[in-house]
Amino acid sequence: MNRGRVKVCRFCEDKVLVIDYKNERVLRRFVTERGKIIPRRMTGTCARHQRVLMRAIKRARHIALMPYVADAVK
Amino acid sequence: MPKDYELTLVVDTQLAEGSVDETVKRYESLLGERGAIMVNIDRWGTRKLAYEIQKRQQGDYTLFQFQAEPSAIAEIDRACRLDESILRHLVILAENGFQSLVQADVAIAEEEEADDIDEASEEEEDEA
Repeated sequence: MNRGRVKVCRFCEDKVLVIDYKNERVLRRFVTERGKIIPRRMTGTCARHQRVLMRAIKRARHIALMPYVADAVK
Repeated sequence: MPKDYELTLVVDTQLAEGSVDETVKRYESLLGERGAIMVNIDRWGTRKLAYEIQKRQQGDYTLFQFQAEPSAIAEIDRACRLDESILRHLVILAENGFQSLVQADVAIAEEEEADDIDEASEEEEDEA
């Protein structure tokens, strides 16, 4: 993963790509394998989208679509 | 003024009185009674929970998309909370209109494609 090299916000670039709590497949790219939200300095996400993303991840966690804590080993 | 809401229900497959379908129907009519206009009901079916809830490993997911008066939401929320066959529920205000999963899937497919292109061009850079 080239986490440290992405410069632009994914969601600003691609207007079709919506952040939604139901869409676990998109959200999963923004958490570590442990389930922690990756800081935006690493993903390049802009402040606004990071905020929306955070909200979506937290919602997804609540309904058990995503883990709060996951085992590190896959 | 009615607003757009989404309700996600996670039904306990073992505890649901009668069947899960009945439970879902019950909530559909409950929403109707509270003056909600149903826009879409999406049955995701049984899926594995990301973590254990009340010793359960799986739950049945249903998404309701509807329009309702904000005043009706508290009652709906309360009903879900009191129901033991509901493992989890989530009521949210759909601020940017309803999102369906189908739409979203298309977007991911496109993004994954874009990623491949990114990686390819980066490799070229490295060589140069």
